Amino acid sequence: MTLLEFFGCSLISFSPALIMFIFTVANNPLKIIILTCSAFFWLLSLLLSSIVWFAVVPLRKQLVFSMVVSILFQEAIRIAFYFFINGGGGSSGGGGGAAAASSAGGSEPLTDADQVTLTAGTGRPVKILHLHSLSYVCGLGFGFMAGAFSMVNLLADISGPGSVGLGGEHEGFLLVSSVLALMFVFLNICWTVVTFVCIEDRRLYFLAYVWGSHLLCSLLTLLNSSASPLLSLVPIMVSLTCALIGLLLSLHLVEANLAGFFTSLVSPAWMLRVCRR
Amino acid sequence: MFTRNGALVLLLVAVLFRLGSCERLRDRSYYKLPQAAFSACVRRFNGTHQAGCSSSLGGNVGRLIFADTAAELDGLSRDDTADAVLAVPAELFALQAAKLHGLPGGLQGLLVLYSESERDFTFDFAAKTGVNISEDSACPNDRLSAYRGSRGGSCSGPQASPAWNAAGTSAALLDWSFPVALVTKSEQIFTLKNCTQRESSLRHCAIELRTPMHGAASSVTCLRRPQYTSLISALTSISQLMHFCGPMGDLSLVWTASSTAMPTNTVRAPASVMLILARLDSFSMFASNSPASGTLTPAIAVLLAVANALASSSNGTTGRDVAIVFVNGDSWDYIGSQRLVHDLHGNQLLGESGQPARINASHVHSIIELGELSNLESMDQLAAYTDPSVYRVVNSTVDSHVKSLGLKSDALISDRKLPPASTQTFLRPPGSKESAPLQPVPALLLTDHKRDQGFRNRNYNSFADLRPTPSGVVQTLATLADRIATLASQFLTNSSAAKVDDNLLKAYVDCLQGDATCQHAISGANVTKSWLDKVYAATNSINGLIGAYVYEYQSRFLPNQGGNHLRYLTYLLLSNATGDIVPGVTKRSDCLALNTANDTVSAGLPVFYDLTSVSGASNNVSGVCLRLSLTALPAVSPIDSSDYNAWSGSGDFSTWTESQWETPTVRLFMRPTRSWGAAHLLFGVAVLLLSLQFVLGAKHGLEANFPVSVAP
Repeated sequence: MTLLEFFGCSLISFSPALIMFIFTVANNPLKIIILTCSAFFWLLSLLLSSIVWFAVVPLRKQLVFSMVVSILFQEAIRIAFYFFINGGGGSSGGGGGAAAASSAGGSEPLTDADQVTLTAGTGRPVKILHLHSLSYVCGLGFGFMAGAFSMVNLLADISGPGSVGLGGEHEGFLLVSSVLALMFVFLNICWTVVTFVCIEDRRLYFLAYVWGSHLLCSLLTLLNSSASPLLSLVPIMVSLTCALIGLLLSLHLVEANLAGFFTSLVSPAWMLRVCRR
Repeated sequence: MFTRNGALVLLLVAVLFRLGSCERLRDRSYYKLPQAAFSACVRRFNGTHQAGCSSSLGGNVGRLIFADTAAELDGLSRDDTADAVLAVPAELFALQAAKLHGLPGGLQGLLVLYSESERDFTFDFAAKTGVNISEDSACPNDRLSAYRGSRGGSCSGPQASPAWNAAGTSAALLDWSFPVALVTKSEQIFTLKNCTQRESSLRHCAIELRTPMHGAASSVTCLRRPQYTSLISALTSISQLMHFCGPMGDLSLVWTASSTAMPTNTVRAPASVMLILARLDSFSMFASNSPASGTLTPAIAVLLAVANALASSSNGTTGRDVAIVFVNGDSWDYIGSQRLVHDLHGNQLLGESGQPARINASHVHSIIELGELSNLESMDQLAAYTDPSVYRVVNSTVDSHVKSLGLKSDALISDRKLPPASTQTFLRPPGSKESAPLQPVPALLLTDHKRDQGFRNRNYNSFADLRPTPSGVVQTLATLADRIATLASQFLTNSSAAKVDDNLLKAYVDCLQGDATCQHAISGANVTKSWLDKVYAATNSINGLIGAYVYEYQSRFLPNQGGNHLRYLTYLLLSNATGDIVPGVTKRSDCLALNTANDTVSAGLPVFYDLTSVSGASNNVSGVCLRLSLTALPAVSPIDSSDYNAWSGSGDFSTWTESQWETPTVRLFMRPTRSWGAAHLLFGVAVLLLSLQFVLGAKHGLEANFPVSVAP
């Protein structure tokens, strides 16, 4: 029975990320590299958080402290990653690195200058990836690692003969945890898209949403350890709300057609296209 | 306004901090029962069968269900017990052992709940619950009794008494198809019962019993098995894993009264040695929970008191000797007495350097064995069994002993087969022909059960054999000890100089029952309460009681280390009862140096006897050096380890072996019901399918906003 739970929770937490990876990332080697790179940067933020956790001995047992520190590092690393991938923020052309990204344009319609570029050793920029796609892939990398780290221990713990409950957890604890991991994958994508576009467009006030919602959603996950299933609904509802806001904000920032997007979500058009091929 | 918002923020922070204490989910989800809280049933083998229990290698897991009464047990259907671990109180286990053994194969395990509060020394399982439990058979050790073969066994035939052990369930001798554990701590029993309160329609309590045994099938199978793995062993150097079982056994203890007067090289005269025997071991299917308060304590205490009385009286030089023998392993088809008799007839008993003079079969004058004495409230209740056919040959010696012991004529039972006792092995040594008459050795078995009665101790060889010896019985035991000491003294020196100290005997009873205050009555300043506490700490390491279980024999066994805990304690008490303090020697190194001295006068074996630190004493620790004439003899089957034919049970020797096992564990946890687990999986599949639609749909709809690759 715990195996059923194990596979069920694994599918809930990671199947959307996996589907996104397979259909939107896996077909492009550069995207895979950037996703791996962003996942590594998320790990760097975890490393820094761990160092602080290790150094501040009196607060080691307090998850809230560790969590706040970790969120601050995650957001700092998210911004740092933007500048890293952007090669120092130049308007175009490669920096000194082998993989330097540049973009420009702000909220104007997309132009060729909005493409992420590579210098192929010649000094000439080579257009490779769009900033929005870049931010999406980076967000997926961040979200994948965040989800993995929040669920892997849990999945390992329930892979044995027993499941949760002896410590007072309610029956839906694993479901809530899995859904929260799923939400955080999605939230990280939104947060990264918003962050990258905000920095690019110098509209830094939107970062308040990112940092605030990150803090709020993360801290509220602590309620899931409660014995009350109703209390566990709070982080889910708040995360869902933040995710919806993040989605709308992201779509707004990338100037997507909201009606078209929501129609496409339920539209079988992609199936028709596959059939035509 | 600010104040209200500030208060809310503070409240939220406080709640989060309270919830935010980190504890690994695995640590919260599993409750591992402490090792001291339970004993696991282990597996043993004889030549043809396996007995006991084993879990699968990964452990058996099942839903925890309870049955407190026989009616509830009867009400359990096959569906209830399938994939379940059943917990029953010890009383129900005692009454329904056979039914529990026969429960359907789907049962994953059995927990026997035997609350600690019911196990103090004022508790008599049989008297309090009206239930008797013995895990031995109704006719113990019958396969290798003196009456095996054409004589029909101990419990059948015209001269047989009713089943000696009427309460016998054979629980420890059955092959259980699932693991069984005895839970003995009240706190853990409460935790188990409390778990069911957390159950719901979505999840239930489950338990994992992990008690894997390495051996299987029979002694000969598991002893032969390493042969087949020798190549793997040679290639991988994991030879320690290739050991699956080993012969059961321990050490028997021998003390001879004339050791100081008869050096090792003395040749004894025929019929010059009186043997006085008591057993040292008991068993339970739960190996580490094998007390023997009722079965063994009185006899051991009496023998210790007799040894002390003989050691305290001056020994003459009549050429006679009395050997006090504590036989070990006899619960398992007479392992210890078979080895003694084997060595006796092979002229190999004692006689080595540092040991008393050699004894062979012709030297034996007579045998007195102390059997069950825990209900001996007056000397009138004492019964002296002797074999009818032997009695006809040696009646004069037997009658003389009966008279010397002050017994009435009706106390002698000479028209019935002997009850299960070590004496039987002396009457029919292993290897003797079936048609041969029993050895004409004058032998008396002293017990508290009279003609046509079975054992009065209803907890013979069981985890519940905890009955303390009543004070009235102790008084009678003192009388009996005194008479035996007088008899032995008269045999030894033609005088009745040996006198038993009543207080000392009571102290021995208390010591053997785990009461450290017994030190007050033991003579000499060399026994202290702290010393006894350390002894108990060493012997009672599992469940707060002195176990008398014989494990797999190890050639490295020392009398004051490892193995049967009761033997360890008895050795220390016997050392104290019979040893001579070496004046002026207080350091371990000085005491050990005496071992190499040419101490031919005493021919004893000087052994350092450290009373302040029982084990692992350094050379500089001060203590008392005792000159001992104790000898520890291997109590293990003499069958050669490669003689697989003999290990298959074709001979007359015990073939009991014990499986190797890993440290047993019992874990309690919650487990989802099948439907709740399936709900998780269905939800996961639904998320997967929805993701497929949403991701591909969004990809289709947002291609313009998230352009993918651009050709370079």
